[in-house]
Amino acid sequence: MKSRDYVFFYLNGKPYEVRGSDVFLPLADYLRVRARLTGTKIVCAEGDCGACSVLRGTSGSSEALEPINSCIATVGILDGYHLITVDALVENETLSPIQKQMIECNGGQCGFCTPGFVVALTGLAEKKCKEGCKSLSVQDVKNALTGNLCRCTGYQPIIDAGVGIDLKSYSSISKRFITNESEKALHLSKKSPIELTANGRKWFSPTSVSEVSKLLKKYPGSRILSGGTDLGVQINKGKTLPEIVIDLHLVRELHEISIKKNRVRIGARVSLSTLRRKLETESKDFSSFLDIFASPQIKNMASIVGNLANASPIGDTLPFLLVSETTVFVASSGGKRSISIDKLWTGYRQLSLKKNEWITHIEFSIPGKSDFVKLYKSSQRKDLDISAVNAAFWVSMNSSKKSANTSRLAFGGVGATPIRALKTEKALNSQSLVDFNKQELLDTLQKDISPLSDLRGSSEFRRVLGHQFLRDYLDQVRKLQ
Amino acid sequence: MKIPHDSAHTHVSGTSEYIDDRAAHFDEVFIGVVFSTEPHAKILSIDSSKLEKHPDFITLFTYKDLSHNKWGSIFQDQPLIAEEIVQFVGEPVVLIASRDRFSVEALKKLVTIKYQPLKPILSIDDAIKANSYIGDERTIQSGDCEAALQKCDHLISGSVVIRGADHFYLESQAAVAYPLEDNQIEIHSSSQHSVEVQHIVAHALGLDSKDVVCIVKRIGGAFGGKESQAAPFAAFASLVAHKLKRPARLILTKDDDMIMTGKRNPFQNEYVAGFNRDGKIVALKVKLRSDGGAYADLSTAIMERAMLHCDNAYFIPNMLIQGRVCKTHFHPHTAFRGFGGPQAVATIEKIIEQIAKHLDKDPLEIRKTNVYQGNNNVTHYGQPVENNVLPELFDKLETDSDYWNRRKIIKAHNSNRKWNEPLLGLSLTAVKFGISFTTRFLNQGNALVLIHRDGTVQVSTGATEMGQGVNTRIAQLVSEALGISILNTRVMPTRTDKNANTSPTAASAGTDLNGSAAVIATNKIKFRLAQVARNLFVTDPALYASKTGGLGTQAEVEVTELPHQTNPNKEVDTFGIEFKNGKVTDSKTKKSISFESLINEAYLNRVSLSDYGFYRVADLGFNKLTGKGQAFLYFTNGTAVNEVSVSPINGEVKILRTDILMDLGRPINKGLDLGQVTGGFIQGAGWVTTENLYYDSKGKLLSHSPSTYKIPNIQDTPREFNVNLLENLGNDKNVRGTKAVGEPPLLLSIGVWTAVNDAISHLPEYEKKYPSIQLPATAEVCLRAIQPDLFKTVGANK
Repeated sequence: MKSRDYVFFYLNGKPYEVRGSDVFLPLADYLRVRARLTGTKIVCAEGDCGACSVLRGTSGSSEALEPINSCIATVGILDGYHLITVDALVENETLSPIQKQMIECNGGQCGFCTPGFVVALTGLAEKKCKEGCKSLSVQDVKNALTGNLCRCTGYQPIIDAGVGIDLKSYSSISKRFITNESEKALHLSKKSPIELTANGRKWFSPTSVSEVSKLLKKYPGSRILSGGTDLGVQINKGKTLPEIVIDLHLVRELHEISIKKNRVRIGARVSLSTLRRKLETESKDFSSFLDIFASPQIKNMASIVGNLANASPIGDTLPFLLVSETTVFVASSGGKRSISIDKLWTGYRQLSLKKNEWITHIEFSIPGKSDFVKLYKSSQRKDLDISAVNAAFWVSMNSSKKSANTSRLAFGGVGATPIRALKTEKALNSQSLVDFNKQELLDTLQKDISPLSDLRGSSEFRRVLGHQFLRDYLDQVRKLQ
Repeated sequence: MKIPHDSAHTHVSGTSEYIDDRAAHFDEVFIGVVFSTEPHAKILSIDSSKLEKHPDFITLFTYKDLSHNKWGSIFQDQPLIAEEIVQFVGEPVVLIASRDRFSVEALKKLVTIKYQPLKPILSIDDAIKANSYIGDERTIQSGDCEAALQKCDHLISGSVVIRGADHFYLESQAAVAYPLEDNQIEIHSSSQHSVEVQHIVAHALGLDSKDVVCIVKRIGGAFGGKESQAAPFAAFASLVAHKLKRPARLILTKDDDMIMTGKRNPFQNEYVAGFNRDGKIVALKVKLRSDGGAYADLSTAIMERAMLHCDNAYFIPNMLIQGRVCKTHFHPHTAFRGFGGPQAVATIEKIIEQIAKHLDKDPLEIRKTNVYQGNNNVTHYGQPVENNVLPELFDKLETDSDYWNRRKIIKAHNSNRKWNEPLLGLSLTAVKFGISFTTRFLNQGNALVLIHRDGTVQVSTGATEMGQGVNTRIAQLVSEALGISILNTRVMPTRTDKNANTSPTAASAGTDLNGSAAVIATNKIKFRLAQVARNLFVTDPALYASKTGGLGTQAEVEVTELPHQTNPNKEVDTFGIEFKNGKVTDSKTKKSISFESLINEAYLNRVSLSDYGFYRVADLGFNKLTGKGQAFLYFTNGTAVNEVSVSPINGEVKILRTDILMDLGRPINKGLDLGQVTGGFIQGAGWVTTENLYYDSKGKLLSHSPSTYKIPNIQDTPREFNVNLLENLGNDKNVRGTKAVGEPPLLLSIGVWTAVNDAISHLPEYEKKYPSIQLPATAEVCLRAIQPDLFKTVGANK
């Protein structure tokens, strides 16, 4: 397929072809400065406040419009999508029912966060309408707005506005923006890869796994871009400026997710939201844990593989992946291989991948009936905050529930990488689940972890948190008997 | 009738314009501010050689380019741009003008500044040791505190550490300046104080005030953070525009804004309280020490308000309050909603809880014993507490919130709790907040009211709209006075060429000062219009000026002016003519004319349809030297019951239920007022729990964005949140009997912090001693208090 040198998307129902260095801009900047759509605001430029929220529709998909953070979404990765901004929500000079609700309940004060809230609430209404819901609960509204900060209202007026949205009379906005014509155009465009050069920087959006590997070999040191929620922040904060980007979004198979027996297979481009939807019935604990991890806007973009490849010691999904027998599948121009997650991280933000290898997908287990799994997280603020310490514990019991077949205890935020508490696991495996020596296990844990002090907590705090998490878990294990 | 915020419809549709939404001129330049990375150092050299090679670089500016470099709202002690010495991390050193806004961050990195570090002062304790202060110690006292402390039944003493907080307005500091002909400057600033921006820009550039117009359309959040500290950025944009003769824009990133600008002043207060066995406090001695940061800014005024709020809602006959601002090498701390009041109220509310612990009584009993009531109604600065609804606020909320029943349930829960079940805490606290600037001359406002020939109205005042709805309230006051629809009234952007010598929109007084001035101006026009109407009603309509086609055949209506007015509540004599529902009607004859037609007739009769109103708050008389007098026009009051849970696993605090009861007089716009209550409360709740300013050993703020600085999220709102207003029609001192609402509700969040202390104090180790945790009660702080032994044993592992 012939490549193209532009990014193609529909913005508020109109086709846009973006060329040159604008492809590397954050979408929010592109919207405000180039498209002169200034309703979208930029506050934090790191995906933590939601003022820049816009709706994204996936072409060829039946999924509802979803909010994303336009401040950390590079223009290039929006190729092939429908984008809708706050500027287009008024139809024929009539405010949308959500906008009316926000006015009715005094949902805006200074107004700077208001467009983001309106967009996020619109996303919620679109999603719930699709699911056939007739009304919104307080919890629906709060969960949908976890990624939006407001400093004026104290949120109560916004909650009131959200709960008051009448879904029965709500009609989806997508048909106003998504037409057969635009769907066709996007579908066609997505078949051809992107290759462009601007001011010495290169952008590639290949369409197959083998093309990715080839490019990586040709351009060693280029950056792989999946959901881009971390790279976008690093670029905005001046920490990195990748010269060559290989973006994965046009590789169809990387969007695939499947469950076979108790193993989940997830491609590198599967977003956390898609994963959550898929796992809702299979693993309640993990999917409800995802509710306090990040915001809808982030989860609609970020991938679990990105979380893994980013190798942060406090990545929130990582302790779970550590205890759930995750296998990491990598590819390169030389072929494919798999690595156990235990061997993936070699140091602070370092992976054991060989030169030019990249992660195509992962597989992990979901807990069965004889598995007792719990996830913990502690942060300054409960929601949408980076953890001081997080943990995942998994005990597989034998049929009598008297002893553990295996136990896996994983922690984040207690060392340079997420870790398994191997000494503690060994001690637990050697004891009966009925009368294990709790104090001894807790003491052993302290030999497994070596946290540092930083702005999220002192090393003492982290040691105590690790202790408290395990103590709480062990109490629950004991109760199972 | 429900009246929404005047910008509500543009806010929700994304069409409200903020500074950076203004379209760029084709030759506009973008400004980057390079700031100090040292807390205290001598600047040895500035190397810009690499910068000069960048294609987008235009030029750079230093302090040498300014006509005058010193500024300050109270003391002019702060350089706009550092000269030889830098005094905080974040202090501006170099301004860069760039052709492209997207190159600014890269350009900033190309400047190398070499420093010779000097010894920094990075805590209140170090400042005290080094005798490093801003201003002298001040004292406010009543009775004979030392003597009373000798005589009372019990004494407690202690100290409280209260840390700062970032404003986290969503729109970071922003300004865009346009050079006009003849060396004039038009500066658009996200500022609470248009006139101060005008003055500072003029002074810095060596211009006259007549050459500078500052315009504030709206502010994307301020909370005090743009009272003084918007001005330097406006001055930078103006300097660049003035020198290059090109429009210049300066938009800080959130990170740079948080590093460069000051916060709520941290305080460290020591106290001794004497009380009798019934819980009556007879003497209170408090020594307040605040961290002012590197320059004076507003810190001395903030300290003054703190000293005036050490009593809060409680009558204490003998008080000795001493306060002094410490000079450190942090960003200059500044106004933040409450302006020192919260730091003082947290102190006295904590003292009360500690007294209750000491006497083994419920804190509510102690509060009710001490609340201002009956003849116990004179503050330590000698102002009587009039129209006092505090006892009523306590009694009503005590009942409405089911306080005693919940207290019983919480006690039972806490004593039968398993180790990993949450601790519950409950606290009923109050606020009595003084309304007026404590600096008398600031208590003035002016307004310009223009009625156009179609009968629509434009109002201009010095008030700046930052979300609080001051424009809406002013529009309501003017529309009601003229009997027209609010849709026919627009409050215009704040401009210094329309309203001069105005005060900052601060101290919760925006509506009070500017709304009063607007009413006074409107009344002057209304008095003239009534005379025109009176004349028309006895004239044959065929002979109205509009019908005689400008032939000049009829005599004109002669009107007299309304005698000078200072009280916006004084009814204007309209000769029995009513202005209502867009009509002007003679109440006796029922003859009527539409407002619009009346305006046209008045115009054709050469009657002025515009006027200017001036308002000064009457009867203020606080003497700063004696610390005595009428500091405030009135008080806004409230009470709140907060119930929290604290996790013994990880120290996490949750607000389970909040019941607020406030006295806001007679609200002009109840919906907007309630928004101030919930907003102020939640903002305070962040300050007392999760907001943690984390500095490195060099005094650089590391938590400088929302990923590390955690303001409340929607999930942090109380599970149950009840807000009610007490009916109080007795505040005749203020326009329309309303009360200011901006700051007071924030102080009710202090009850979240005392409730956390209450929860922790149920643990056996706190049977005799009050937990005394710092403010904010972060998860780590709480867990340390709950599990002190674990921190000693487990935490000590290496």
